[in-house]
Amino acid sequence: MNHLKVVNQVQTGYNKPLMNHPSPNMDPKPVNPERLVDQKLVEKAQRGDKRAFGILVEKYHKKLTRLLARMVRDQSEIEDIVQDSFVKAYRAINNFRGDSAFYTWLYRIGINTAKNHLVSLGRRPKAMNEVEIEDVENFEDGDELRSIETPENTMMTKEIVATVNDTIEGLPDELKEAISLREMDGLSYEEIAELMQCPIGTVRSRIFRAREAIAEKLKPLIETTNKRW
Amino acid sequence: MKEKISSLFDNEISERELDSLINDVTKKQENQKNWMYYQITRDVMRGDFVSSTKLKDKIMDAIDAEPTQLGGFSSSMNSNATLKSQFNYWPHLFGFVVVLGMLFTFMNVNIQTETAPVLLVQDDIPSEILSAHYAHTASTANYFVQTGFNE
Repeated sequence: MNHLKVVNQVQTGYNKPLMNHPSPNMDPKPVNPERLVDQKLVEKAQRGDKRAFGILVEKYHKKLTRLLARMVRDQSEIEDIVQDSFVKAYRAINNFRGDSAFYTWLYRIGINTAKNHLVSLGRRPKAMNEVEIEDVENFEDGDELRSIETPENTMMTKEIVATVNDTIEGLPDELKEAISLREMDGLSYEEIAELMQCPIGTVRSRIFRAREAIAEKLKPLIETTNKRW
Repeated sequence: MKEKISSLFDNEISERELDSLINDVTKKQENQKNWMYYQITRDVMRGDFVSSTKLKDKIMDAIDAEPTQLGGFSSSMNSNATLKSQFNYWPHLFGFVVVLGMLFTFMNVNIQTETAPVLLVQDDIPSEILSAHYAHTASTANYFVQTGFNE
């Protein structure tokens, strides 16, 4: 894609605080970001809203699964440990004081749960040092991801990936470019507006329209398999 | 509204809108579904997608089976609220003490009213009988004189 070259010249960074980029087109006092949203979700969970905790599960269960796949190889064991970790996090949610990011706290619980699990089976946990734990925010590892695939969900995964990719291919160029800059390159709306030479409101709208088009195609695939809906 | 939720998903929202948007996401199932589709789209585009609907369902089933957590700690902004909620006990406590005081006073008045007629009986008894009565009583226990004593 052409835009990728241009993007590389711009300072990118998915977690860069947006407050560093004041612009007349932006809403006043934009917030950074992920941590504040997570904190709000935690506070709602602390007040008894399980669906708020569900959003956090949605957000982090795959990332936690990938992380724990570095310590445990067996797929069903990993899933049990991920589930236990979330249950422990939920039970302890009232002790979460926001001193660290929610995901750092959650991953520590996950790693301790995995270690305890391995020790209980008489196996020696793989070493995972503090630096790695602190760096979980940036943890991305496709190899671990592939290791947790099972025959059962491989077909579903392929179908969903094909649906998303085909839909993106069929989008008008301006929508395709906006969603790609956001999701693949991690640019902020302001950076995308600068690259596409349009107002931030237009970026917001293009990304939303692209997502809606993809969601429409995903609905029939996901809703038939999701028993909670 | 859906467009704002898409912005919230990207953390591109102003702080003043944050609470209401998070409420919209957690309260409306349709918004939760959209949030999930956005997450799937992101995972696929970043090459990290693995279908794990069943795992998420298992986790949420386990969470649903847990007792609901209530009244937890919430960072600095909630410390004021906690202080305020402790302070709010005082009016209730004060009200309770006032009601208790009024009840106690009312009961005392009633006791005094009920004991008064006993003294009135004494006025109708001839003094010589009273003197004879006091001469034969070891204490003031017989203070409650029966009216039939005159007969």
